[in-house]
Amino acid sequence: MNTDQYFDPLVISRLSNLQLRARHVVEGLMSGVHRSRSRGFSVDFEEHRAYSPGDELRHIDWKAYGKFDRYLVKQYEDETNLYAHLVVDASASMDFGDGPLSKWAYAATLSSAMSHLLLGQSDSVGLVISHETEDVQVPPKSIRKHLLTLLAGLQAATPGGGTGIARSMLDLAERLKRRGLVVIVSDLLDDPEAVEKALKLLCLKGSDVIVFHILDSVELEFPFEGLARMDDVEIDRNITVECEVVKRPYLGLLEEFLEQTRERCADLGVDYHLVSTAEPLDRGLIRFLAWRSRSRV
Amino acid sequence: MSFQFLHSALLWGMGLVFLPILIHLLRRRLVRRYRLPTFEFLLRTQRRITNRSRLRNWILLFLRVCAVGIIIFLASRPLLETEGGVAGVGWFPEHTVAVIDNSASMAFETGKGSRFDVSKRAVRRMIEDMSDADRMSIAATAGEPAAAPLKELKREDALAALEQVRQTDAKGAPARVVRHALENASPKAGRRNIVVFSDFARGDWESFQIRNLKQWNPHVHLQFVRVAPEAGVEDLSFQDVKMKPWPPKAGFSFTIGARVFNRGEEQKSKVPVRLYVGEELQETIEVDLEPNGASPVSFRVNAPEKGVLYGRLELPEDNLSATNRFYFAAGIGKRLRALVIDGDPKRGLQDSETFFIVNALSAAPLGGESPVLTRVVASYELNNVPWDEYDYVIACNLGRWPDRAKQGLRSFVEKGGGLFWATGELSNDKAAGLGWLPATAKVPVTLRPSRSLKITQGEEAHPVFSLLGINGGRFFSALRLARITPLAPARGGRALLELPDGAPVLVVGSVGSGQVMVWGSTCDRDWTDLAVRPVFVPFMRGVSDFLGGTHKGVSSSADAGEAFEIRAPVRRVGEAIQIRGPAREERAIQFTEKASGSEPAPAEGLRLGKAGSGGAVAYYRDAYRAGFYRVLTPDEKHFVAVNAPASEAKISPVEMSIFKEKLEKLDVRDLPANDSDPLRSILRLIDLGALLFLALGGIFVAEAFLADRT
Repeated sequence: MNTDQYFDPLVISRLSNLQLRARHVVEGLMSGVHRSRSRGFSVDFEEHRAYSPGDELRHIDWKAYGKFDRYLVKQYEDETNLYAHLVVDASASMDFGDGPLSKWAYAATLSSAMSHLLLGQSDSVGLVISHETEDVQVPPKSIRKHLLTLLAGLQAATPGGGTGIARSMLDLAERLKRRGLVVIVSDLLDDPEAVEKALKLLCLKGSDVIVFHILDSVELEFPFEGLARMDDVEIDRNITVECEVVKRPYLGLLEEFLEQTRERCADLGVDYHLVSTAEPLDRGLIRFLAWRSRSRV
Repeated sequence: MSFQFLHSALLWGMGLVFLPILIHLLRRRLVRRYRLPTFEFLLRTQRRITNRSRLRNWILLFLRVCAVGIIIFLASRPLLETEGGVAGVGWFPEHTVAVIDNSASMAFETGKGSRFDVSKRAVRRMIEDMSDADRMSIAATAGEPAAAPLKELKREDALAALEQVRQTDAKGAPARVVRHALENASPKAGRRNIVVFSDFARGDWESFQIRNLKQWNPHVHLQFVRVAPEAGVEDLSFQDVKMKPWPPKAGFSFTIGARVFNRGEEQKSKVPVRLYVGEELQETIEVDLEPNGASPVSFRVNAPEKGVLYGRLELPEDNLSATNRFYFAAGIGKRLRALVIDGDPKRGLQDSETFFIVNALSAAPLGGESPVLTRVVASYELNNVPWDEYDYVIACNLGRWPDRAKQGLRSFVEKGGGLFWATGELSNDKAAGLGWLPATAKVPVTLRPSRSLKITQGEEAHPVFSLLGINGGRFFSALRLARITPLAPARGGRALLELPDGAPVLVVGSVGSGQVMVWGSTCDRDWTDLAVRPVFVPFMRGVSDFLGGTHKGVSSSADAGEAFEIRAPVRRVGEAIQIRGPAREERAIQFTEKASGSEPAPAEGLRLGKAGSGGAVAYYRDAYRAGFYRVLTPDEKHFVAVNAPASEAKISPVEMSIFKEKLEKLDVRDLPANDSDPLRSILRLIDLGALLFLALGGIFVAEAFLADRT
């Protein structure tokens, strides 16, 4: 399989299961890479897993070998290096997409893949699925089984209602007791001042914040033509526009919004990434891993 | 100022201006729905641009409507009508044909010159107003050759051509000239105009008809200018002039009758009507005339014994002088002179052929005179005969006669004289030395039983038989011939009368310029009963007319504008004669040979008028003014009376409604006589094509700019 296909939204869209999607993406990302994990030593045994080449021989559980006649490696609940919170926007605006993946599907797949990676590195991963008024929260854990919980949470969520991403970030900031990583996956179609305020608070709490700003190619390019009636996806309102007439000013306003967001993030030291749903998923993940490796250093 | 359209039917396409609006409305109905999460940005965008965009959209819609309208307007070729002449505006060269009515009625005085003068002033202004690229052609309704090519003239040449156009007393042919102009206006010019200046008098325009024009060119603007209509139609004129008998007989009186017509709205009393014979006032009659009424007048005039009679009827001067005079002229009939030669004078009077011949030729109506003067001579008297005093010779049974006379007779015949040679016991062409006759005579023979005569087949229409009426042969079938001199046609001779078995009895032929007839019997009662038959008189008068020419009186009159004919003996072919017109202008015309026809050429002198054919003929085609045209020759004095055609007296204009029926594209404007700027009466058609193209280009640029801004 061509490695590009691991990240192609079209290919991913054919995988219905979020777990499969996450694994698919991560496997694609790791294929060809040395698979030795940078897992730390642990004192609390958690589980066995099959030996794979690259594992240190000293970690082989010889007793288990004697018992099961196959190489098993002991895994321990490692000390967590990092407390990561994934805040995924599940507003109605995320339930939009012109391509194979909607913004929500893209965000969920990206979050799943990141969870996979983080958990694979024994980081604790928590999840906040942001709705307009209240969030679905999954507390951070570092055990691998936690991935299933996270994925189940994502899979169970249905995007809808208004945007509450700023509020969710504020709530999270208030709850954070340790420094860690906060990954925001949202279209950020909320009050920019409130979003800035929430990001600022997260930063003040000492967290590293990564923002994956998910937008659909339709939103970014406005490819409509002729006379069109535009419906708001969150509120029941619409306008009729001459697409050729409004295209340029619309894109101007959008660019202005993106630039402001980018600048605010830069000012706060927030790692900002604008991601189009038409882009392959690995780009977002590579950015994330790049950040992760920087943070290790 | 108004619009004209060359393709006005295309204006129906103006409904297409609603097409952009329709498209706009249809597009609104075909609006598509989309969901957009970034709706807020769109909303803010829309708020910001709504007013400006709406205005721009309205402007765009307006421009598109205008563009469609202009395209349709352009296709229908709009022309802006403005006053001020026909000169172009510089975009395209113009070719203008100025048609000037120069018929007799246009001589009507307006107080600022005649209507013709007013027309010429207006045309002069048109020419002065021309641009250098424009071209002008000048055409006149009277006096122009029928198919003269239209010369496209520059300004100076057009002015010169205009000066050549003259007022005539002739009838105009406006339909012919306008048709010719329409068919020949320059196809190279961007715009073509035909401007007709006329009074639209009934005389010329009642019969105007160009509806059946082969090819109506929509690119030619035809306009009519009614010249000085305010001058009215006040005029006195002669109508129905009749002269009886005409031409008059020498020395007899004749009557001139006419009606004097008053076309004015005022009663006129004691209007003097004068009769001039020659240059002398003969009589004046005063008549009272009701408005639009007529009154008859009648004069009795004595014709002179010989020569030419000429004169005129005259009314007091008024606005149109051409209709105030009626000219008449006629040549008084000349009596033929015949020499009758008696070849056997010893016989008694009543037995003599000359007795019967002279009596037949001298026959005259009751109280009248014979047209033939006869002289009888004996054969031995022929030496002293002045041959040139006679028009023809009748020789009866001529046997022996002087040789000098033989030469004289032959010379006389060859110069155009006529000869009737009747045979008899003594006559023998060899003995008479007449070997040049068109028939040879043999020894006389007796016919037992006697025979009748018949006209040779194909010769029934010969002038000799012209007085016998239809089926003249029946007269000859009743004749009896007991003895004849058998004839054999020779030297081009042909039989006119023959026996039932076909033997020729009367042979005719030419000798030099003269005509000769050979009769194979006698003219007394010895050989035939012809001399005592009723047919003898008309037969001999026919022979006389044929050999001597019909020297009847000739009416010498013509209508102005018509060519008249002057005929002469064939020997005058090539000779030139001078004609002096009423304005004392002189012009030479030349005789040419005219094919022989039913009427013979005059034996001598000239014959005026239009009738007849044969001999030498000269045509005078320049008689455009009324008056006398004199033929100037040293020994002759001839007049031709030329009058304005009677129809030219009908000077009231045609009803425009009738006129419009005849000409669909009618455009008539009035040109007052005292208008200081005559161009105001002439429409200028400005082709708006270039202007509309510019506007369309501007609209497209603006549309593209605005559309691009969106």
